[in-house]
Amino acid sequence: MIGEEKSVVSIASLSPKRQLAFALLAFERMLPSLIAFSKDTGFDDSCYLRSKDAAWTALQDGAVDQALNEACMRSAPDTEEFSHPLTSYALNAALVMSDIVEFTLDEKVDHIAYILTLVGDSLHLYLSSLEPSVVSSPEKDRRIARHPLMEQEQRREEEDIKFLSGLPDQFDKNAISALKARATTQAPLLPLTH
Amino acid sequence: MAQNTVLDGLNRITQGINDFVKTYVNEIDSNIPFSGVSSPSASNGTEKAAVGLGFLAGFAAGDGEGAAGSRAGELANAMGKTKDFVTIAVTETKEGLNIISSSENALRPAVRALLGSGEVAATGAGHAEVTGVNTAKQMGLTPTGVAASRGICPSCAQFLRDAGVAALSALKAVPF
Repeated sequence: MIGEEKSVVSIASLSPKRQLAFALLAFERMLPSLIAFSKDTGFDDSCYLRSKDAAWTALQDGAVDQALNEACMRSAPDTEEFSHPLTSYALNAALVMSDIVEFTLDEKVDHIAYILTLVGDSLHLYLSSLEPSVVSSPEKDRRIARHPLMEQEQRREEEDIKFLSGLPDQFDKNAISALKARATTQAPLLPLTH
Repeated sequence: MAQNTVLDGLNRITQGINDFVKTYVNEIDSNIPFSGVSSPSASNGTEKAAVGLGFLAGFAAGDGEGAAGSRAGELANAMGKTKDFVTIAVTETKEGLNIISSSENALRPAVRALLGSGEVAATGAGHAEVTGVNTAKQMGLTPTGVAASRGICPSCAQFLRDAGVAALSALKAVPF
């Protein structure tokens, strides 16, 4: 997506806890698609919700059990097995959670970079679906890249980085409360209209 | 002397692998009920061999499956771990253009970025193989073969047979 490399550079300068918080905020924006997909298809999203809770706990203390990640990867929705229109967005949310868990274990910024790619992919696929055509074209790609939803997400990522930079190095209960408030009041990544 | 001994050893190992693959494919051909994915029209045995090799390779398109198969795998690799959940298909046409499609409604930007001249990015929901063939036809092209980054499922294999289009990469093995 637009500014993806710039965002990665900015995020890399944050502490690992702040990077984790950044990733969790992104996941929370993607979660509504996964939940809606689960409700419609009967897909079991419980391991992603458990992983999310564990990752929030890890903001204060420790890592998330790798076994949970393995379970999540095994059950991520396959695009050949589901024809539901939200499948790709649910898959991306599932993969984001997998990278979040892996980040709690090794703190490699590559996971955050991949999360940004998945966020961008979801937006790209959503915006592509608004403009049905037989083939893609560079013009269509440019229109998608300049779409207000793309720009809005880039702004949100930049605002998240600023917000996180202002938090104390060690996340206390107040910091976690502020983060959770931010997570619950933000708009979802995609407007769910189906 | 020592060099010859090493070369002889390597040749024996290579021959052993070849014999194993031939035996394995023959066994699938004769004993396993793959009729759902094996085509009577595949008179040269390519399709059945692809089933066997796909089974051995964990159902992934790999080396030795031709340019389209290699290209499908190469493009899928650009997606990182997503490649285990999304299929990329390369549809060859008589006219020379290749249609690139996926099992999502559009190609992801990382895949789009790798496309070169002679490759067209298809859009549309459904399995990648079907989208590729349908896109080729909608463009007035003649699809001749399809390779996919993951095993071609039985329904897509049937679709390709019905359309007279060759499966150029491994078929997905059906549990039995």
